[in-house]
Amino acid sequence: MAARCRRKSWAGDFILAGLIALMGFPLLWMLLTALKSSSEIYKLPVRILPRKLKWGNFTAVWSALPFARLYLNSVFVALVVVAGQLLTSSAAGYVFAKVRFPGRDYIFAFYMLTYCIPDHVLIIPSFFLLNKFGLLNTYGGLTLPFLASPFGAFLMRQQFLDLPRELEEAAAIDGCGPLRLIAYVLLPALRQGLGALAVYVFIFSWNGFFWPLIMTSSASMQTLPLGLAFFQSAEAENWPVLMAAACLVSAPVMLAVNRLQKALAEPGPKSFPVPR
Amino acid sequence: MRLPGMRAGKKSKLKRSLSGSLALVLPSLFIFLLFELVPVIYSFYLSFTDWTLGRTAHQVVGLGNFKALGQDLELRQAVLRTGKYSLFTAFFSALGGIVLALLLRGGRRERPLSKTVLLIPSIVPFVVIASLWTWIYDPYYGIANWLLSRAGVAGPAWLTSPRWALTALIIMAVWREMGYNALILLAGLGAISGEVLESSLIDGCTKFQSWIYIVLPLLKNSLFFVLAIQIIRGFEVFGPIYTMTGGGPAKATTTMVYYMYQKAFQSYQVGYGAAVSWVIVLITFFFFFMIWKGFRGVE
Amino acid sequence: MLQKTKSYLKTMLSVGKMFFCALILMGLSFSAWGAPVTLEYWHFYGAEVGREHENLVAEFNRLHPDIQVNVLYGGTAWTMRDRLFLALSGNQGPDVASIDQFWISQLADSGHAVPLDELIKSSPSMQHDDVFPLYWNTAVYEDQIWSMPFSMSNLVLYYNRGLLEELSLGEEDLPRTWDQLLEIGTAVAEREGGPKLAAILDLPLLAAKGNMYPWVAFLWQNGGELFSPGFDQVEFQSPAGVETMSFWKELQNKGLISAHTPEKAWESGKVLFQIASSARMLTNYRHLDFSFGIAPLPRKDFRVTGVGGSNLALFAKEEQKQAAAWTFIEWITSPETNLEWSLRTGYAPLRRSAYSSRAFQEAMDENPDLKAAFQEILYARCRPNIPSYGDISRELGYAIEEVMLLGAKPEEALKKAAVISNKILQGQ
Repeated sequence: MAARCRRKSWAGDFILAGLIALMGFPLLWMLLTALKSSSEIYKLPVRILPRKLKWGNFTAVWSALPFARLYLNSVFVALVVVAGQLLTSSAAGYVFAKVRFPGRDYIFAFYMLTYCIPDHVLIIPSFFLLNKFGLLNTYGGLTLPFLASPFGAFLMRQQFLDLPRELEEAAAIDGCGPLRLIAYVLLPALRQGLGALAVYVFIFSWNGFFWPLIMTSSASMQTLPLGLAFFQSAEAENWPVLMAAACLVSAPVMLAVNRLQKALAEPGPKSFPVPR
Repeated sequence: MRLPGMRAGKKSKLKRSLSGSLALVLPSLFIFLLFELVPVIYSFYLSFTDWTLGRTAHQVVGLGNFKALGQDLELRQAVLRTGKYSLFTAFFSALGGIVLALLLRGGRRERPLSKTVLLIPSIVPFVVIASLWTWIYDPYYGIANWLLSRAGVAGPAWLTSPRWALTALIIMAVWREMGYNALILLAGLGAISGEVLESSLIDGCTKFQSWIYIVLPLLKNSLFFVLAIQIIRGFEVFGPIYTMTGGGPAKATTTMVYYMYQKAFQSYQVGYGAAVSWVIVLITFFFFFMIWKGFRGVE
Repeated sequence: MLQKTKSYLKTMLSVGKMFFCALILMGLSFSAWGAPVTLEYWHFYGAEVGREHENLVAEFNRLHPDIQVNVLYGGTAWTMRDRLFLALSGNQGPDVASIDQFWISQLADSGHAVPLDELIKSSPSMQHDDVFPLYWNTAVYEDQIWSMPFSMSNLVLYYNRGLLEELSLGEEDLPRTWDQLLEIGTAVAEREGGPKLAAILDLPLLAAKGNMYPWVAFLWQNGGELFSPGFDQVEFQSPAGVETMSFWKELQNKGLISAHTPEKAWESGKVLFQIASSARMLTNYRHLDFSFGIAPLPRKDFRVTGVGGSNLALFAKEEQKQAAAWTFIEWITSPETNLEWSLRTGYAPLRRSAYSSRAFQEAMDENPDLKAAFQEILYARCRPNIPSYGDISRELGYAIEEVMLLGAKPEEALKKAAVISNKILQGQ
């Protein structure tokens, strides 16, 4: 019996490895294309491996796009949004989890309900609203709407709910107000959850496309995904350089992914993250 | 300005903590009101007007837009198309997720590396995914058709074929979502006691069916979550269509949100577009509700 | 004491006033002479033409220290159109932009574009009559000029000389008519041996690649029309339209054209003929490693080709910016710049003076393709400027896809598109 099961598990290993290779292949293909010359990719039969590694494609990206500016914009926007969401989400999460006041849970439920409304419903009204405030084509317009989210409040509320009550009580005896309680006692205990939230929000912000597309109107305000999309439409068939640009745009989120998969590994309802 | 809760003066402790706490939700509330609630109400209002971009005056036309929606054949086709996309993507990505999660579970297979590889597709910017798959799907030089030709199959023209474009997008979406689903389901499996699974696995050595009867019910919560998320994402699909097919060829990939986009941004009928977007909300909620009911029924 | 303080205050006040006035004056003069007026300019030229175009703008900036034009590439024409309208509605639009000709009706109706008649009339350098009347036609909507013609091109037939020889065909065999095209193409398709071709004729069949542009030219050649004379109904579903569509279908059935001609097939020398914009010859095709020639489109009852390219629209309303933007338009469409632009890119010269200039005549003598392409201007026709053109052309593009890709019957596909188009036309 045991032997049979082990054999089965070898077969499982094999299938799993195959599936993972299949899943990873398109990404590998992106890298392989990025290392070929543009004449090589239009040769038939298709060559899997580049004959000669052409690292020049990566430097070509830097000269073809205002890459430094795009990167800077993307990084800046992501950092502001992450910092903002960490603050607002932990504050809101705390209140919705720990402070009793009439109607609290209804307000929370209502807040969560709006999460289910597709973003595209909001695009046109938001656009004209931001226009009223003079925020179009500014960093403010790129960041402000994303400084708080129902998802962040939900995630942090779960984290606060899972904290032992004694922690608070001990702090209350020491005469802590809510702000100090949160800052010095609760948040340090929630480092894990905050880290996970930061990663989701970072990915969400980094990948944003449609909002920056319609609200930026000068080259200096654009973010990386926009730069990539425009590069594709301008240089339609230059796949090696395009794929090199794609690699560079994806690199930061790939670095964040390891942290994310740890967060996802925690069982239970609190680890239901929805990046994007 | 006095920071909330730092010094409380004469107020009672309850009031103090209440007002302080309310101050804490204020930033969230502010952003929520401004960028969620106001736009939602505004969009709802717009759906009852005939506002056209570029024209300054607009009139309230009551249910006019919604009546026109009822006779809009193109919208009906877009809804069916989106339903197809959404259900197929949800089903296959959940199925793939279950298989991966079951294979991944336990010991050395649960290595971070494999999980990282599985997760990457779902978090890479979709602009990247879109250009990558446009290249993969190239009818002549793309790797997809080359692999098919090695298997002796003449590959289709994928994104430029009205018959295959939607399928091509579904395959891409399944690839993209499968790993994410697998990790969610894996976490769900982790919540199941090891013994139950172990015994079922031993049985599974002899009878595959028992997996379905033992493991699936245990996975109910996370499976519900996965399906709900995928269905909602499917109904709201826009990015890949915007960047890869533009709704074509021959409208084969014009989904609901893309149709709304065409109406509002390309034909400038903002009022009508808003009405379409509320139909999308209703349909999404309906399916969400159906899945929820379905899972309640299992209990 | 009090008096003293008062007078002291008074002096201070007047000094302050003077200082303030001086500051304002300085500020004014600073803004007038010191800091350049900045303009936002959007365009949708990609790749080589895009680089040439941005070079041209840089040249303008160098020659005009008092004006700074910031360039933004707005994506493909469709992406840029969506963004442009939305940005203008939010007062975030550019001051001046390259637009596709048919956008002007909507830009004019919405009040975003500035009518140019007065500016053109009062401009000493513009010389209205120097610009070919055909190009003014692209810019007129409801009897007013709303855009300035800039990059003009027309459809031509490219042919690959080497392949022509390998197929033992001569220049005299180039198809002059639809029938000849079908005949020659069929003969090539049915031949045995010879060079391996990716396609006989490369012609865009997908809406996303602009299938409408050549299709309308074919329709016109066949005596068909897109719209009824009063623009109250579409007419492309007429017998002439059905015949045009059936002809395309026959080209496909006989193996001349395919919806799936690989990208870069023409550039890699594996296509005999290509119908494309004349503007490609000096930009995109500069580096081709085979010799190609240019011929007129094969004709039917009429010799017609379509005019494409882009015009410049002015959006700046504020006086100073508007003046600066107009200076930019004047410069970039002036005889000298226009000649330069034409010689660099292959876009047709706008002006008679540029066309008849020695430099251009010499260039045409040197390069017979240039001559062949520009002679077609005589037969060129532009698309009508009506607000619903964009939506209707999309529907027609889908109808072409339905026939060519899904095998729908020409009559039915065109009729279906006509029903939707008439609804759009009547504002429903």
